[in-house]
Amino acid sequence: MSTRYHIPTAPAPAPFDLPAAFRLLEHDDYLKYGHQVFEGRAARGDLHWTAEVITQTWYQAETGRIPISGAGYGGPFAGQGFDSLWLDMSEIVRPTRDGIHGRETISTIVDLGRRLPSLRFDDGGRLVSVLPPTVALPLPVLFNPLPEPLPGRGALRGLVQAAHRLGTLALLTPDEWGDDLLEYRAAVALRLAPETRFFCKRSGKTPVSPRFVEIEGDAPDLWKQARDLWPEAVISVRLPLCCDAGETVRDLVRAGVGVVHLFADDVADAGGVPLPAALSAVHGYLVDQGLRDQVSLIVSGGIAAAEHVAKALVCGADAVAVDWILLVAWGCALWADRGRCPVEQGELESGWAAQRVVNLMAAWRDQLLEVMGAMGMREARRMRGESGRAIFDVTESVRLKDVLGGAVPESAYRRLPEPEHSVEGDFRWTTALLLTSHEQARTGEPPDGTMEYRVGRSGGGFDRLAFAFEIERGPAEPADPAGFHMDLVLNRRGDGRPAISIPLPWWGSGMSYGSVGLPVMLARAMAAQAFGTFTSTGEGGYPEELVPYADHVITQIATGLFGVREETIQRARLVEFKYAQGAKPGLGGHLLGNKNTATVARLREAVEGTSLFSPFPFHSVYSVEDHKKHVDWVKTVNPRALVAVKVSTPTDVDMVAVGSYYAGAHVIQLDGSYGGTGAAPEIAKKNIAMPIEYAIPKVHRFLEAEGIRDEVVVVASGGIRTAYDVAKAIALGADGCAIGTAELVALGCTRLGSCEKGQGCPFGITTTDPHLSALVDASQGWQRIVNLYRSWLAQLAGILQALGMRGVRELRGRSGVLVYLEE
Amino acid sequence: MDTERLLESRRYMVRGEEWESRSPEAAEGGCGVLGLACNVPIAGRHVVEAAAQMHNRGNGKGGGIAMAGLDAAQMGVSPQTLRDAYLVQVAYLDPLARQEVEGAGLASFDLFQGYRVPVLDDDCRHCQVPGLEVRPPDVWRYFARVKPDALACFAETHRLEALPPRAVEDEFVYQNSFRLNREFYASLGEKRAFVLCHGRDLLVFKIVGYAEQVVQYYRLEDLTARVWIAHQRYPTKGRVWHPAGAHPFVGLNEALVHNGDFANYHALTEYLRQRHVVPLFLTDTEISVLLFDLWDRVYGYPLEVTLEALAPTTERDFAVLAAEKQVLYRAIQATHLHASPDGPWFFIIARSRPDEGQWQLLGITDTSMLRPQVFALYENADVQLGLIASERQAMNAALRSLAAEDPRFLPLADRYWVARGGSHTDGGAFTFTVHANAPSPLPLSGENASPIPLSGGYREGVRLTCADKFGSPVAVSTGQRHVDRARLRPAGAGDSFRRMLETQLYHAFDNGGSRSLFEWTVERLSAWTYDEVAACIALLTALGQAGDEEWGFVRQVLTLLRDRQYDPGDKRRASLLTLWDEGLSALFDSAPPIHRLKSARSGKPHCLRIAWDSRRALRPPDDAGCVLVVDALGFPPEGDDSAARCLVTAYELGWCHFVAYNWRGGRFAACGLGPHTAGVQVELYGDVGDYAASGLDGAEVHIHGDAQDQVGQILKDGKLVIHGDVGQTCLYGAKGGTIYVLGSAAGRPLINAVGRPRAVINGTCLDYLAESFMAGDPLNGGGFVILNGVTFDGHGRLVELETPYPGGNLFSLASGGAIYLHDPHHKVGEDQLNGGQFAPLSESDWALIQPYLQENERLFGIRVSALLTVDGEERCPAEVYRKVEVRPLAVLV
Repeated sequence: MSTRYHIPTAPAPAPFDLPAAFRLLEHDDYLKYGHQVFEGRAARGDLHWTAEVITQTWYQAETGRIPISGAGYGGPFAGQGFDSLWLDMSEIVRPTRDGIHGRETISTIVDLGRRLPSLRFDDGGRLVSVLPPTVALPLPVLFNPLPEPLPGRGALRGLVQAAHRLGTLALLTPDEWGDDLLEYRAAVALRLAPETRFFCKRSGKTPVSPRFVEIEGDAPDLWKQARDLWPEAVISVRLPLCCDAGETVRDLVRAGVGVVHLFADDVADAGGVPLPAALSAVHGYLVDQGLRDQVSLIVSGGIAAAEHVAKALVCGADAVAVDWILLVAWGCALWADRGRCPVEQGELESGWAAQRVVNLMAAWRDQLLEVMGAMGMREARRMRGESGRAIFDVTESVRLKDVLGGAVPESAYRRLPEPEHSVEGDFRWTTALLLTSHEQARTGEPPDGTMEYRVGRSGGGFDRLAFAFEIERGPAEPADPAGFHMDLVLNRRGDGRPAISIPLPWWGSGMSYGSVGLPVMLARAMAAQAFGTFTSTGEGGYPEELVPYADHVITQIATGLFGVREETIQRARLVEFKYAQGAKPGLGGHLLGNKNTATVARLREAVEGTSLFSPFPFHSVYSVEDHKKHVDWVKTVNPRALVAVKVSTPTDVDMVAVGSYYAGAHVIQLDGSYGGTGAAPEIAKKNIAMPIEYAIPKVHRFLEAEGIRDEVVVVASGGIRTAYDVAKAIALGADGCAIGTAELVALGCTRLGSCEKGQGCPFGITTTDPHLSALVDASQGWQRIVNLYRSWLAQLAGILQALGMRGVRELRGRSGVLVYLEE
Repeated sequence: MDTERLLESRRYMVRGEEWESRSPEAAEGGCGVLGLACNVPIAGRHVVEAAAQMHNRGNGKGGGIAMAGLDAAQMGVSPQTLRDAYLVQVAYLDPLARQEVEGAGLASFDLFQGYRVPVLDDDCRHCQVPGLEVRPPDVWRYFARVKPDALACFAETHRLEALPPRAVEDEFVYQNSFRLNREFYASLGEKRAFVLCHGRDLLVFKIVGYAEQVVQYYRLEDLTARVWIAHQRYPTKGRVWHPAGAHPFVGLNEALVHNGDFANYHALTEYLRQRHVVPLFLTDTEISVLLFDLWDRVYGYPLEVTLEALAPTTERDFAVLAAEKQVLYRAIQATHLHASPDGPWFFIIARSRPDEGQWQLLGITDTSMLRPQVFALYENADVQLGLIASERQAMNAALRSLAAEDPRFLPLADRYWVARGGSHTDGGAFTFTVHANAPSPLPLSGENASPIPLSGGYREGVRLTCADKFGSPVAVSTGQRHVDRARLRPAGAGDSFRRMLETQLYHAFDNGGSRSLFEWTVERLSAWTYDEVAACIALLTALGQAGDEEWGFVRQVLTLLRDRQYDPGDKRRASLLTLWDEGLSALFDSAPPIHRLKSARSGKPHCLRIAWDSRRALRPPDDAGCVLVVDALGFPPEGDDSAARCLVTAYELGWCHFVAYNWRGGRFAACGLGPHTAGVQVELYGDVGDYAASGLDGAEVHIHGDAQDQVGQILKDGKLVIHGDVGQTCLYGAKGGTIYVLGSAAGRPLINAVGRPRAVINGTCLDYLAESFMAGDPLNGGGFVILNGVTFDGHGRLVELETPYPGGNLFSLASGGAIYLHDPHHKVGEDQLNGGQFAPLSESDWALIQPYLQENERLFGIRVSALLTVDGEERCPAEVYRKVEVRPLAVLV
């Protein structure tokens, strides 16, 4: 196998109209998570083959590219099956692997076949073991036979051709074989049903000496026959993934079988058990039996996205086999909208069909590299069964509910009216939230209560939490903030550095020059100055225009180190290390080439028009003791600065926080997955690290148990949209929050989610185009941010009043005042 | 079959373990590790120095020591018992547990000796180890053999009769300790006792504290061993720490310390569990040693196989292996790849092999060089010493400590190197083996190297060898000898020699030519004796005390002698460096102290010396040209009181010229000076720590010797000259400036650099050079790297490295800048590029880089004409240099 695996892609647009009536706007390449799927309908189609899966597959099959978009994740985060677990990421205590675009090689090779428990050597140290045959695939995906017959042989030929180009295998039944596949025979694997006569080899119906043969059903005799017939081949047994699969596999392995293919149904369900759980059970059983390492497990059934591959591996698969998704790649919408499937209408052109599949697999592999990189792994083979690097919603949600004041049915929450049809926004930033935020930004007054202004409709995160008083009495009446302690002291270490205090418990989160334009940065800085709080430069350097506001500007040091100089570190009162970003945990920054304008390039000192990548991780920090050194460095350069550390939320976020404290940080910012972004792969937004509402109490309680909670400031960010979100984050255990998207909404953002496209946002917010960014007027914009925050303060005061508290410090960690809204 | 039976005998271990829900208790992340191996016994006090030097890589929550190759008399047993019996040390957290352990727990053993290990406060109630917060456990030491009937019963029960009796006894001991640990430690809420070690001739201590405190508390200062390893731990989780969680962890005859953190801990426990290997302490370090013990002892793998299983050879490294090696490695990977640790790791293992009469020290790194590591070798006729550590400065601290009391040692090693796991060049793993009572001394050097003079050597019949993963010996030098400092007599140089020298000295001084004196000296140096060298230094330092001008002149001469490469004749370079360094120290010490009101010299002193004790006397310079001499000894390695901050404070007071010496790993040297520092000059001597010259913006910094990691991060402008090697990720995110490196850069130099940094690296770097380089168009003001791929032989001659670049990732994803490769034989292939492309060297390219090569010649004496000379003939630049330029990539637009 070649040292570097690269999948060449080429555009392969559909020659017909795509079938489904999804709500795709002109600027959409595909449906983003959390958006409304059908025009004027709340229905979401299918639960597994979702409109997002379908349209993103189309996009990948056409372009070979990873779906990337601006803005944050708009969906609920947790769900059923594959959506009930997340992949972990590495941070500080261990580095991620910088694998995307081949910066560091991450291998997706997997071996299928029987494995020896150990090797034997003679006295001279020479190997004497004879290894059983194995098949190495360059990516852990192989193709099942077509799930339903399609007209002609075009689709079949396309599939086999794609397998050939990818270096993987297409499983065919003997009936499907034909001489037109001869040139691709290396990619053809045979699936034989018990009733199939085995001797077709002689009859010339099958390719001579297949590398891989699969026997249907628990039939050890047939397996032996096949083994004798094709001694060089790997012979697999295909079984349903169900309750007693473990024992069946055990017996097969004891009988010598080296590969077992376990299949669930079309929606990744194994007889009522979701595929991940059923697979984990088989894997664990085989470990208990001491047999797991001797056998390879292929799993199939409802594998519909790149993240499913990674998650299946983590749950114990060596590889996955796919079927229905191939039809989707060719343009079918399956039953997402119950519409017709153009693939069934006529014979596909095989070259086109192959290219679509190759493109899809190329995009899947790139996404696999991204999540593996985030997990800190460089070998797909080492991911198998590595459930230690997964986060399970069932575990974490129980932990969250344990610290809340109880649970009530969602219907008990008194939602305020909302517009019938959302015209803008998504499930997290609903039309109502956008409208009420715009109104607050205009007037500076709290909303009048005629429209919902506290929560969105994502079905997760802060939308599932409410203050108990809201259940009893509805929203709190705004109050005069002057009567409450709203301040936040940023240095509690008593280390001789300044005890900077901000008069309200939040600041502006980092947004780089590049992701947003200068007027936006200026408006944010002016607002920060007006309130005596901070805004952050983000990772794109420190524009000179911000220098007059330096006392209120955080210098961010991110992994790309763009624009970071001693000068910019020395002028800051607060210096922030950005280890990770919640919207794309474990991934580096990515400024697309078209946003790298002349001025951006000048500030970052890079080449104009080329995409700019921030690596991940900091290549000077591969461990917590490196991290201490890193913090010490900034403290040496600026002896008066405080140090904040921005991290996302891996499963060991508590250890990351403690490690940061011992490394000398004053502030730890936990950035959750609902956070905004200029551009992030869709896969990262909902599949890596844990939601912020799980992370905050975890960290808060852990720091308390360590006895250091009051020496460090914990700031929560990533999807803090409203005053209620701020209050909830603090109640869960944060000292304060960092705000990003809400400030953009105040400036007029409507969550178009096209921040990364072309020159950027058509409203001039997330753009560096000189003409477009002139649409934002800093001299007015800063007032809108100030207005929004004035309103938030009044609401926060109202919440404190309703809780009978005198200040935000009293609220911190009082998670008992919150209840969980049960579905 | 026997292997399976052996593992089958452990079936009970996995029973009743609720292991699935267990996650590692402690995420380590980072640590400081150190190991040394020597053919002569080394006392613990030398380890104290080295461990203390890496204090800041731990947080005092765990420190540990292991020793192999012990002294029987110090252990209170006969040499035979030391060799044959198992040395079981038990730590008692609960003193009452001892009766139970000694009764039931060790019932199957014949105990030859059992005693409590003495501790610091035994005799003196008030004696305390400074800074030790948690009282270490009482440790009892037993020498034991398994009772024959118990062993026979065990073998019979598990049908192990076919195995060698020692293998069965080893397994018995292993399992007995497992049961003890489970009963007295892991299974309880209350942790009462645990086994520290149970191998032969192998001793382990660990505490909640720092490694050096282990030595102090258990009074190991005077105890000797042939192999030592030490560990500073930096755990982050849990308020209560137990010493059992500290490193080292043991298998049987090996102890392992680890710096890193696995990404696949869970899957590895599953791998082990299927083989009835069960960890009890829940850290990835324990997993590591269990893997090693399984492959090494139980499966009986050759060491190379075990190393390959731990750090598999992949990508290009695999492709260039010999065919039969590929077959073997493919089999190892097919069987073990999913059981190899992923993520960053670096192991140091100490082990005894009593039946082979060997003790070993092993260092193994991961495949991406994600942890800092450095190896070193020192040898003379009497002693051979191998070292492994996280940081060079720690090794030098051990050497310094040894040299201070034993003239056979020097404060510097002969050779230092870094490694990359799974590389085709050396495999990234090195083994130092101490052979006891060797029948005939073997040369330490490679086959092709000249033999080492053995006249006075290997007196004890004990010798040390070093080999890489493939078993290739690591050579030191060619037929040169070290100085015998016990017999060094400057007076022995003779009057005529001294007179000649004096004449030359004053002539050069009067004519202002430190370079001319240097050149005169190196022309003759190869013929000089060490006594003559010493006489030269004595004369120089005497001259240096005569006045400021003389002082500056002598500094320049000695510095050139220290930095430059030349033929030392029959002398070893490390010996000469030691002598030049001593001369320089004497010279620096003679600079007038800042706190004395009156200088001993006439007029305004042109240079003033400040030290830790006199730091408060810092004041503005008398004139702009004044040199501040900073004695960095005693300053903490980081923080507000660090030497780095002292430089900044002085700069703010108006000082612009700095000479800092006695640097002992202090970090952030020349950081924090701020913007626009052109005209500032910083000369650094000693072991300069991490992040040196990061953020530099105009100043000129010289590091006289090797530099460590993260040098020149975000460097903006100015000039950085490193007269040696540099560590990981130098010039990360640099914006500009010029850097010259005499030696090699370890890994990932210039990653994410933008703007216009220009770097000349005369050696090579292991991998990931100029990843994501974004430094514009080099012909239009952008940045570039010149990689010369050369080194020097023992006689100061320029030689080409085997390849200018061994790694598989060159210029990955770069969108700007260029690399100019000195590669006349086209050894670097397209497959090593990861985004870039080769282009011919144009005239404008040569016009661009020639001045940098000329400056390189001025700084290091590497002549441009020599670089252009290939096979004895000077070629035109385009035949010698190749350009790697950016290639438009789809992902970049």
